[in-house]
Amino acid sequence: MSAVEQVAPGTPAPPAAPVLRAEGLRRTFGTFVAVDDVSIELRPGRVTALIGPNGAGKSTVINLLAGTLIPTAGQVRIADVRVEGLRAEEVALRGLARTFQTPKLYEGMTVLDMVMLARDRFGRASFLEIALRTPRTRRDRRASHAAAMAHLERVGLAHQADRLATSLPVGSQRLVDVARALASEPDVLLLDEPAAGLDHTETHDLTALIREIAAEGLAVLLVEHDMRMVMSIADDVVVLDRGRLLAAGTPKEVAADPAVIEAYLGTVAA
Amino acid sequence: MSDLAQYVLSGLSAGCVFALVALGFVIVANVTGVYNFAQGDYVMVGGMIMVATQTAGWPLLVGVLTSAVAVALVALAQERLTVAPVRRRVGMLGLVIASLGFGIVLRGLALLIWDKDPLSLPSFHDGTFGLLGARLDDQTWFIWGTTVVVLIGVVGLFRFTITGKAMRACASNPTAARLLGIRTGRMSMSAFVLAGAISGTLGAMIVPVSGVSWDSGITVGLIGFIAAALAGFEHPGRAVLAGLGLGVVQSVGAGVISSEYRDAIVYMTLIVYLLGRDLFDADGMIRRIVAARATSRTKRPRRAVSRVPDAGDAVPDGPRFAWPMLVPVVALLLLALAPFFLESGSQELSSATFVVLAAIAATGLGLVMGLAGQFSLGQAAFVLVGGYTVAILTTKHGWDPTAALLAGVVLSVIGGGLIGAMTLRLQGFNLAIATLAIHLSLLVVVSQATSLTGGALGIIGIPTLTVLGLDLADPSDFYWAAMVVLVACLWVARNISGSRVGQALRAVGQDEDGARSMGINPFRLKLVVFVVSAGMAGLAGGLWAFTLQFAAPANWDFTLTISLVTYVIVGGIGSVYGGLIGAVVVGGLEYWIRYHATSGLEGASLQWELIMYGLLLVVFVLFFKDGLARAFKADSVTGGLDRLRRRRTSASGPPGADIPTAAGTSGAAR
Ligand SMILES: Nc1ncnc2c1ncn2[C@@H]1O[C@H](COP(=O)(O)OP(=O)(O)OP(=O)(O)O)[C@@H](O)[C@H]1O
Ligand SMILES: [Mg+2]
Repeated sequence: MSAVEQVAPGTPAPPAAPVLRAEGLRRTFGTFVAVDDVSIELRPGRVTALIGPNGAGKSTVINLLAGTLIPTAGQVRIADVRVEGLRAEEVALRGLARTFQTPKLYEGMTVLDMVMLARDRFGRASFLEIALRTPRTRRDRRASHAAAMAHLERVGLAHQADRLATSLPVGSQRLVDVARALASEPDVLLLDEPAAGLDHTETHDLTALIREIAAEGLAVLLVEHDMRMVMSIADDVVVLDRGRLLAAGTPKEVAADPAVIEAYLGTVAA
Repeated sequence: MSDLAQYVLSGLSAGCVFALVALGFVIVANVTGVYNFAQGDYVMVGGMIMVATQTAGWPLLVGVLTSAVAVALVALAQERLTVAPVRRRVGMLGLVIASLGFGIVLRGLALLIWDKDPLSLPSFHDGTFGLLGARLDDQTWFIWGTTVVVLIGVVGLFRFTITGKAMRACASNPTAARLLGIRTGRMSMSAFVLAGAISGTLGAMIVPVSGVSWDSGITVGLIGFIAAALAGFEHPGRAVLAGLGLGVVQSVGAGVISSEYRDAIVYMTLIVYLLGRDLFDADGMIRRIVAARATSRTKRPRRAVSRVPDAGDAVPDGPRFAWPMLVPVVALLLLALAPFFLESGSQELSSATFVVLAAIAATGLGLVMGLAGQFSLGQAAFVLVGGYTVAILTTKHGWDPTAALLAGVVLSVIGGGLIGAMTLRLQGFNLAIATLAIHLSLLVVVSQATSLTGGALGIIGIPTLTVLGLDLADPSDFYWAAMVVLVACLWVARNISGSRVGQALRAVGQDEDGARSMGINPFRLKLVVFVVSAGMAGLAGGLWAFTLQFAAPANWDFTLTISLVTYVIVGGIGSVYGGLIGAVVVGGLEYWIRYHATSGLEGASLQWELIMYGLLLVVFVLFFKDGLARAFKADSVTGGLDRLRRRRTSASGPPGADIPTAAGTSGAAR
């Protein structure tokens, strides 16, 4: 958002000011430039799709936004607070949730356990109370359990709550990841190829879920290769190619952009 | 001026040993991913064999070569027995603990064969020479010469031979190396053999200067490790320089400050380095301060508040009873029966008391190793702090026993907080090394600060414990008090382990990035667990002082740390009751050996105890990872056998499918 576009003081703020704003992001690995001068805005209630060929730098962008990687240059703001120097857990506590391209699964943990991890931050008992197992600790646990079940219900996995997460099929594992991200009650949700490995109906259900989540006011960033899914739910599309922004706009605009057709769709067709 | 030259030049000799030990660490770590904690003991074995050959009248050169070959064979045996068969299944921590166990076995064998007293040899060539105003023994030439030859040899090997090039390839990228057809299993053997031969040679050369005794490998290994750590475990050249530098620091420090504190001075170098890394690391203090300034205008609320109403009342609050509980219950029952069968005031009951106290400290250590996934080699340091605090405050300052006990716990907790803050942010084995260094420094301090601690003789005349007017002078009363403390500690450990903190730490242990993405702060959780563990150790130490009624360095030295680590591993690293079970089983066995197997001769049983501890460590960590706590779960004992069988059938496959590189685990601050 440039200075010219900014509203003068006094006028009511537009309904959907960006909750996450990244400007001029750059990240190098040694001499290799993985992400170069990328700016992205995510607004409440909108789904922004981030697309691009393999190795374009999409996952790296997510890692930069989430604090998993520190940008070489550029800024990330969440609710107007600079976060790019913070560690991932600090960024998460400021309202950002993300999934990983390969779902994170913990051996020996049930689906419910994993979602309860995301509720860790809502525990009210201090460490001393935990060590002494005071009634408040037990209340925390029950509250966490109930909330985690509610989120599992939402993605349709409540009946699997007591199974080991590692024993589920890939599709369900991705849904566990989504449930876990939602359970932390974020303002911004970054999804890294959530539909990879899902079958047709699962993809359909996930699409509906993402739409519903956005409708509740979350800002969603969706990295996805399935163009049909992207076109059907994205409000905005950002195209990345070899680390650089190639195009940005509504799905229709982007789909008609000759540069995109050449660079991105061209490689897919090839 | 000539004094300084004297210190620097004589420091270089010790520095040569540290340098080559560090080189061994780096070679093995790079090629195999193992931090070989037996490396220092290689030097000791080399020295011992040199002494043996000279006693037998063999020529010098033959003696040195024999040492080199013998230690190379020892290293080869270690690789074949404790690395090759298990590399794919046992994590980094397991391999490191196994190498520690192997080193302990070597120490026990050395004690068995060559006895306790330090041995020495005359210089290879009588005489001295002058250099830059310093006067040095002719032996110095041999040490410097050997070091130069070894370095040239290693560089030549890596540069010009196929094996060397292949080893370097393994180091930089094991997967690619395998794809190129390099046999990483053979490379791993070569690395161990090379490290062994180097250490054996230098071990033989250094005997005339510093002598050799069964435990001289501990310091050498630790300082070599510090040098390797200073070089980030990646650059052989830097490791050598760091080793030489530490030798000089040690020697100059000994000359300028005090020769008693010479090792402690080197350990302080490590602490300074760790502090520096904490400040300047990519994830360190300075970075965080800068980041915090950018974001400081809006502080995040301390605690997140859920937007959805709490529906917790709908969920039943059922603590689940699980079967493996049986083993700890039996262990506790055994302890509870002890006072009924053992006479109050008997040696057996006091041994049982020690088992209870060790179980308290081991329970704390179990939390650190099992939950926080960190390896501490200094649990006995906190026991020592607790013990000496009680001793000093009660005898010299007339404190009330209970207040002194609490003060000991507080001091341990503060110490744990400081050490943890310095080391837990970084990955790798910094905590292990820092805690070990601090423990060894503390041992030096309590042995030397005679006016405060009574030196090696220690402090006598500690009163018996009285808590809230309850007199615990009678040994069986005291025993029950210790049992109450143990049960309380177990309860706290169980609460932590079963809580969201425990779950979060388990997640951190498996995938740190994933855990962080959920807002879990690994550093803070590890720190808090480490502090609790230090507190338990301090408590055990304070009680220990009251039951012994004296405090001396030998009560809480490095052997206690080894015992505690062994208890946790044998009992079961994944169970909060591991420390308890291990203490009862292994501790019981130890006292049985001491009183029965060696006809009651105090001290004469040490070698057998060492060998037992070392073997138990190796066997359990490699083949029965879950320990005795899970022994009666269907899968574990047979699981161990199963795994052995599977190994035999898969032995023909490509070895070492998943070797972690040292760089991958020690670097990567985020
Ligand atoms: N840690 C790293 N070190 C070195 N290079 C990296 C690292 N992470 C990513 N890269 C490189 O950066 C580029 C972008 O990677 P990234 O994973 O972001 O791509 P992507 O768009 O997510 O691709 P995909 O569609 O395959 O998931 C790739 O060329 C990758 O090899
Ligand atoms: Mg990706």
